[in-house]
Amino acid sequence: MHGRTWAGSVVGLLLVAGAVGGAQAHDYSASRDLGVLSPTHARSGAVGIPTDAPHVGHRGGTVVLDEHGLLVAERNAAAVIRADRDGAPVASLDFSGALGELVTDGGALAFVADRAGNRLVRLDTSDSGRLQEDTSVTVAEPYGLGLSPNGATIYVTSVADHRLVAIDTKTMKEAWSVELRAEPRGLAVSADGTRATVGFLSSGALAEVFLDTQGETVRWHALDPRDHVKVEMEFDDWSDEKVPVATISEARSRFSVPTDQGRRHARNVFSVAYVGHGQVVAPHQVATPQMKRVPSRGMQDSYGGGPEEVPPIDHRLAVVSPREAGQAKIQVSELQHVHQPRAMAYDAKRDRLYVAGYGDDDIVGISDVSLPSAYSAWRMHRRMDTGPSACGADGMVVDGGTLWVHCELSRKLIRVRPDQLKLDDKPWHTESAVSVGPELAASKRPESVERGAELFRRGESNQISDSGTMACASCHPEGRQDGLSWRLGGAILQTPMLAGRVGGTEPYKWGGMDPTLNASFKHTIERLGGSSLSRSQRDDLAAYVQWLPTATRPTVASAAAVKRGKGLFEGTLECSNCHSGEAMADGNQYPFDAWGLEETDTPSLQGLAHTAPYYHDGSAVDLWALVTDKGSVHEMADFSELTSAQAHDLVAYLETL
Amino acid sequence: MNARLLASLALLASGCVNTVAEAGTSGPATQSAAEADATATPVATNIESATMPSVALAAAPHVTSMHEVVLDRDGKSALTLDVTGGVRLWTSFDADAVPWVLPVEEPLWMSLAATESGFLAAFIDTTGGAHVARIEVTKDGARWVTAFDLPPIDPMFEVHVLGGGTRILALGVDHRVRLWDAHGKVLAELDEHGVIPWQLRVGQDAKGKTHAAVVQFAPVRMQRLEVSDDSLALVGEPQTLAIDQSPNRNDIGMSSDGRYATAMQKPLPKKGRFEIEVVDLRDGTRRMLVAESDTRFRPRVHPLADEIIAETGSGRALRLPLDAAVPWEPGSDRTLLTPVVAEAVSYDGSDEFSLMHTTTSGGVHAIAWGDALRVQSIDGQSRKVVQRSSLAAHAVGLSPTGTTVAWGTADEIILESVDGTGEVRRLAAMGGTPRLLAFAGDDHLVTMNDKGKVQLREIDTDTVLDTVSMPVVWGIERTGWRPDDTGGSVVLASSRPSEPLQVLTVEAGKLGSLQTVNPSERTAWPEGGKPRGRESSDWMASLGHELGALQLRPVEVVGTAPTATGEHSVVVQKHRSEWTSSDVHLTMIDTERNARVWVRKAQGLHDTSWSRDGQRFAYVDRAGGHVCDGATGESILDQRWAPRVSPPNDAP
Repeated sequence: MHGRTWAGSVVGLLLVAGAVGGAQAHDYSASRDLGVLSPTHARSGAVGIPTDAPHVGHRGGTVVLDEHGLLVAERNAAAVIRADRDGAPVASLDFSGALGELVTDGGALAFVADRAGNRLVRLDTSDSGRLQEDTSVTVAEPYGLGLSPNGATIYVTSVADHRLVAIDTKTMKEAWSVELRAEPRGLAVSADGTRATVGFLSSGALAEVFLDTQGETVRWHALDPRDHVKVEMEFDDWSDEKVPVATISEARSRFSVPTDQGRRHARNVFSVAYVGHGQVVAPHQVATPQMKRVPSRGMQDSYGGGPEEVPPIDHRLAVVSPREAGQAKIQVSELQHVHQPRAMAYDAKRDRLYVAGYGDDDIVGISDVSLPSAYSAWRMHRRMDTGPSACGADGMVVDGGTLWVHCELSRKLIRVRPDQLKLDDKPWHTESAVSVGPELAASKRPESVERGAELFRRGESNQISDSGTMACASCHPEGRQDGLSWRLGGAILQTPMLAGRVGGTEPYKWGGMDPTLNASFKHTIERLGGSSLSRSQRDDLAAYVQWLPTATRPTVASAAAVKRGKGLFEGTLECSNCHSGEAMADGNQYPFDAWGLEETDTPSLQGLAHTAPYYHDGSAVDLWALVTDKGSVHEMADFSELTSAQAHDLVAYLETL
Repeated sequence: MNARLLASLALLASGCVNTVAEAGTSGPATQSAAEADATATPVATNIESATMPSVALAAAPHVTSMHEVVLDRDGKSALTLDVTGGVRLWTSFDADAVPWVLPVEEPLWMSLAATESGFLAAFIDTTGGAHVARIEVTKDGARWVTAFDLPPIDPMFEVHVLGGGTRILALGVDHRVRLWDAHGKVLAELDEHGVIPWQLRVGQDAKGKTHAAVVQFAPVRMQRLEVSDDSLALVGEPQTLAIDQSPNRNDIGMSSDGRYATAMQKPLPKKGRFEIEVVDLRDGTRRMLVAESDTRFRPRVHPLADEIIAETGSGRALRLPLDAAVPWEPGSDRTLLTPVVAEAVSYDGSDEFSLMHTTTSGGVHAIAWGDALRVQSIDGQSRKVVQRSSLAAHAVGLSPTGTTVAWGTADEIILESVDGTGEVRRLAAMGGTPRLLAFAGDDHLVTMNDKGKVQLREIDTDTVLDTVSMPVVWGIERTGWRPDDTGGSVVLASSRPSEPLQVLTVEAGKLGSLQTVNPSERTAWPEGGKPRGRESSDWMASLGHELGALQLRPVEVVGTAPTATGEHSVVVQKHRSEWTSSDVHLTMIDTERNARVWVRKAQGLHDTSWSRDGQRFAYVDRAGGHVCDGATGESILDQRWAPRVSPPNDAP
């Protein structure tokens, strides 16, 4: 009754504007209840450049601007690069491995998250021709960075510990920290310094941490839509046959069934930013992992199970407006032509937000972003490069009338002059407004890994998926997992972590039906509806996923508990009989009573703390539910004799894997 | 280590050890945290303190259609949800009831109980986070006070505020059942090895006692859950239930007194026959009720203490007395059972669309669907209906100082005070679809219908003083009104592009002469809209505006609405790429500074109006009528509803 077709006709509830296949997406419709509790700021109408623009260091990124020029986190080169305003390298500082974000206050204060080295590093950037470390502090797998307005405190997300950590920038000592949830990434600090908002890869919520309470108060803002995708067969006059039609409908009544079918989940919030009027913007993807199954065109199974015409993933931008009582009003718009929106830059002087797609390198410029009238004023739709010249936009920064775009894959800076581009420009018109700088640093990854990384992120590619809707990185951001369970054929299967788990752990897939990684990719691309990759391309993908570093273990709270838990794991419970070896997987399959699977392959347990939910179907929401036998698999081990204390010990150990 | 684990460890450290049932046993397992440790660390965050966020609530109807309702246990108050996610609290169901707007959006779950000082409400958001708040209602207003939140780290399936609002029963996605007090303190939890509750059933008997049960799957079974002030305990044996759909909250039910489980099957989708197995949760005794629906829809089942109400989707519901259930052995041939002859009761608004959205509690049946909240006694005898008609206005006019707005509908003209006095007057319809409504001074209204008939009306007496028909060719493209010291001028643009603008003056209490505007002078009458064929930029430039400076690209300008002095103008814009959409942006520009001042969005815009002093601006669109501050664009009045049109109520 309330819904719209994917073709765009509006019947009732319409959370987002711009239909799939339409032109630009730009509408910030009055999506949710306007009610009487209006936002406590000027989003209600007044035009004008917001006066509460966020400070320079309110969020980090892979490219930032300071008084000497550009600083770039070259993740694949494991280096921080000083670049001039031609986008050319001037100085370099090497690190041991992967980096998170950089942040600067625009002056002399600069930090980088040394992700692989588990350090937050303060940089000495005083010399425009040289970079060097000043000092550092230990943080478990740091990623997102943001400075307080006065620069006295830096906030860091710890991927390994699932925490937000506050550190005094002068003493480099931890002031406080707060546990959030798994897979935190980018963060942003409000202009008044009272709040920090954190995004997550495997959750549909943003965490708003009230900094004056030192993290004691955290408000969570749900980005998951309440409405769901409803698939029905309808008679089509043109084809004279029944065709699947998907509509977005209001969530089912709590008395109806089934409840999970068609549910949509927000994921992959790599970055957040504050814009005017205290609002937070968060680009993300929305996945519909379990649609009503409509097999078609001979495909045995497809991701989400829905008809081919219905993309199980789309991309959106959420604008979160604060209002009284700690609540927030959230408005969303579709981000078409921006695949895997990840990089953002806010031009406060024009109230314009730029969002770039990591998967397709397209960029949109949204004007009046702090207002209800926000619209796409600008788009850079380039021919997507593939191979060595591919970009993989992972960072942007506004520099006066210039927009700098950082390419993760080619390790170059692209200078864009937005004023020379219009919304309607065709791809070939963009070239005059764009200049690509030289390579900033050589990659430390083998060439095959580089090629595989480019394939892994590639969106809008018919080779990978039907209509290019999905990329490998859509469900496996950074080679990790989205925390969802997808309908695949007759089964509901949890997205597995790839990083650190696919080296020597054949066979693959939950049922263990693919003997090699190459075969597994071929199978996955078939499921995605892609036209297939060549064998050598699949080899490149395999090289990339095998290169991905194992997820960092969380900081151990109680070594004694871990030791006791290990004893249970290897002793009484005999878990190590199957979860054995370095990868903790024996390569065998077992006939558990698992719906949709005849046999279940022993999964690797590497990085287990970051891979909830558990079991092949995600039926155990966390490790506690698993060890108290509340998942769907009951034959794996006999947990019934465990005391509660032993169960806690076992969880403590499992989190260290 | 997550927060829940820390909390559990806190329970352990305090000596409160969760009872882990022996494998294979199903005996009662009381798990009371409070018994052993009254200071156990609560799981919930933001435990109530003097600084808990609170906000004064406003009263207003839903801005769009309702489709969910949750009653409190006594059936005297309700929470409703609309299709855009808005939530309202109804403290009464009287015909003139206006609900409180709650600062909650798109909850997946709602629960409500009346307390001594107001209400306690609980919600689950779309990521599983739970939010609990006190709503204090006094004669001076209502206030929302956040009691506690539970983060999505510990997601919830269900939260039930129990009668009296002092306890909350919750089921987590981790299948733990917890009992909180109203401040978020965990009083007890049920976390038995291998017990995997997927759903809860909660009821309240006539004496106000709470009854609950847990539902487990594979196989589907229900077991009583004893809930006391500070403990939870499974009681008796789990009883298996046979259903023919995925486990859901309709087919699997529990009587409000907690004595019976019900399991409904409807074996033939196109037939009306359905079967409800009634299982005594105390001793497992099984009986069967078979009935015949008058539709093919799956019935909505409401198990009460001594009967089962089965709504059929035709507006009727069958009242199936439990006494009519016959003894039943699982595996017996169901087809041999004869349908019972059941009394039927009518529920207004109960149709195939609302069927799975109805609810019963405290002896009443409720539907919130579309514009109507219907609360009826179970027997259907007494009814309360709160229903509002949409404000289907096509024309709007503001009085010279903007203190009164006139909404023009096909049925009437409504005069409404803008300054909150609530004063409403109705004038006779103008005949046909309204196209123009304007104040000529404080005492007169000028109206035009879709045939071009213009009337001058005295407001006090609602008397038509004069009528003139303006020539309309191919229909009306646009109308406008330009006020002046003696009255004003009506502007009409016909749909035929070559047709010149027509202007009709109004002065001294009568309609004046009709004039034709020379095409070369058309830009002097921007109220008449954009001439056909002219680019936005040319046309705007002819009015003295430069689009680039106004940052109005890349949108198409489709009209302007200048103030009487011409100092300001509202430009109506449409995105080029949204040619299928009726959405437009209204941008107010300062014509002297050539600068934008504010922007609002309208859906299917019908008409606009400025107060003569330029202080207020009004428009009507598909979403209703709106009056905003001319200088800032801030809303002063958003009126989705016409003044109440209420069906007669019979007080229960």
